[in-house]
Amino acid sequence: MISRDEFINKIEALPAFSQTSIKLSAILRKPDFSLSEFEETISFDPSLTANLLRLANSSYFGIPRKINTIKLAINLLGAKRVFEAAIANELGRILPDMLVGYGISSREFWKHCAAVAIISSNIARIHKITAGEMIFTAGLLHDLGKLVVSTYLEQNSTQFQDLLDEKMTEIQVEQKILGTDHQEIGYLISKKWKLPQDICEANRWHHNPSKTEDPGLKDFVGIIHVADSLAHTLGLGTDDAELMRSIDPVVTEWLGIKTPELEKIASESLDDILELTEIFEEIRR
Amino acid sequence: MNNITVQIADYKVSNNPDDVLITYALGSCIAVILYDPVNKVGGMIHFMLPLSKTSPEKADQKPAMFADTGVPLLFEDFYKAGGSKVNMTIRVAGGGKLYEDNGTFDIGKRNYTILRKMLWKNGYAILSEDVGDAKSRTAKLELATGRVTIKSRGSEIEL
Repeated sequence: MISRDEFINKIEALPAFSQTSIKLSAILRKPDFSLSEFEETISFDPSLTANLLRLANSSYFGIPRKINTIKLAINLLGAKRVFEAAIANELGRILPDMLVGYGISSREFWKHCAAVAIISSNIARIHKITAGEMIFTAGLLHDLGKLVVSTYLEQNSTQFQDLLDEKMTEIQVEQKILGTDHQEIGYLISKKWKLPQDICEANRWHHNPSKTEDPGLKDFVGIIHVADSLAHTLGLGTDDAELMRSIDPVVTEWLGIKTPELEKIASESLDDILELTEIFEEIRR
Repeated sequence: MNNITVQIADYKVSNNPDDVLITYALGSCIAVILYDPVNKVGGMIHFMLPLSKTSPEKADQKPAMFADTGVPLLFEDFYKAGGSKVNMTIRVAGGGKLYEDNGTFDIGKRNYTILRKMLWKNGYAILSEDVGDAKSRTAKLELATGRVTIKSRGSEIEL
């Protein structure tokens, strides 16, 4: 069993999110939110600016004209989309080449995060979940804990594979080997990075959304759970363990989601997911 | 050897013995693998969903997304590339599921049911298959030999 202190130390050692993206999320949430403050904050970060312009011109965002300034990007895409691109850039930047413990490359891991971001946005839109402002971002960042947990699974890989063969779920296996799981570690990481509360909660309970304590966030975390489960069902960035999971039974009831709707969402999300996957190379350049 | 990747919602056909058709991460999606050992023609589809009525618009743009619009195209192109119905073998892989999926998420089972129905209606039989369970699979067809392998979590089987 690994001690809590050791995990905390490991979290400290992660390449952190830049202050810029955290500041952007705070600006976006202000009631008197100012576009010029938003633009200025990005401009102070030259590497983010350069990457954002590359991303804004990718086919994922689908703007036919050349975007050469952040101001124009904000005008054409809106501040929220620019923020989402900033977070995507941050995530892409900090991933190791391979999450060995989970048997998955960073590109596949990225594809999964992209899939959850896009599928959860589509579910939130269809179900008119108004608290869904940050849902794309929460989808991108729901598995932060895996960045740390992977290393420990790598050190216990035989046991990890054996327990999965014994039909334990991924979360049960992590708990058994490590005394914690990637949800709890993800929560600690997102807290440390001062990410918004809904993103922290999505990290904490995306395998068991009915445990979310804040009633205002149950739908939000529930949608991330459904999107995560659907993405893995379809094999979009699935690692060695993620199919060994359970659907939280209350969630499909809450949201009233049935199989035909899942299939429709899958069909309508796929192109965007594949395009968002492609920008990974742009970010890693 | 020349690896050709079959993306999700896509299909590929080849009559070049140097080619290897390969598709990754079949969760609930299904790969149908055709091979003619005499003419050395092979084909593979990686479809995602059972029925195109889910989204007729997407079915127009990407027919291989759905079993009912994609699988007929695979057969058509397989014959065009010189494959013959008499020699053809059909193998199937994928249709996996979550460990406990509450029924709602069992798209793999629906994919498999529809596929079987389509093949049966047209008088085709499946030679061998590796379907179901909480498994993500990689499927590979070597054109030169007709060898089909399925890989899942490190272990590989021949189909």
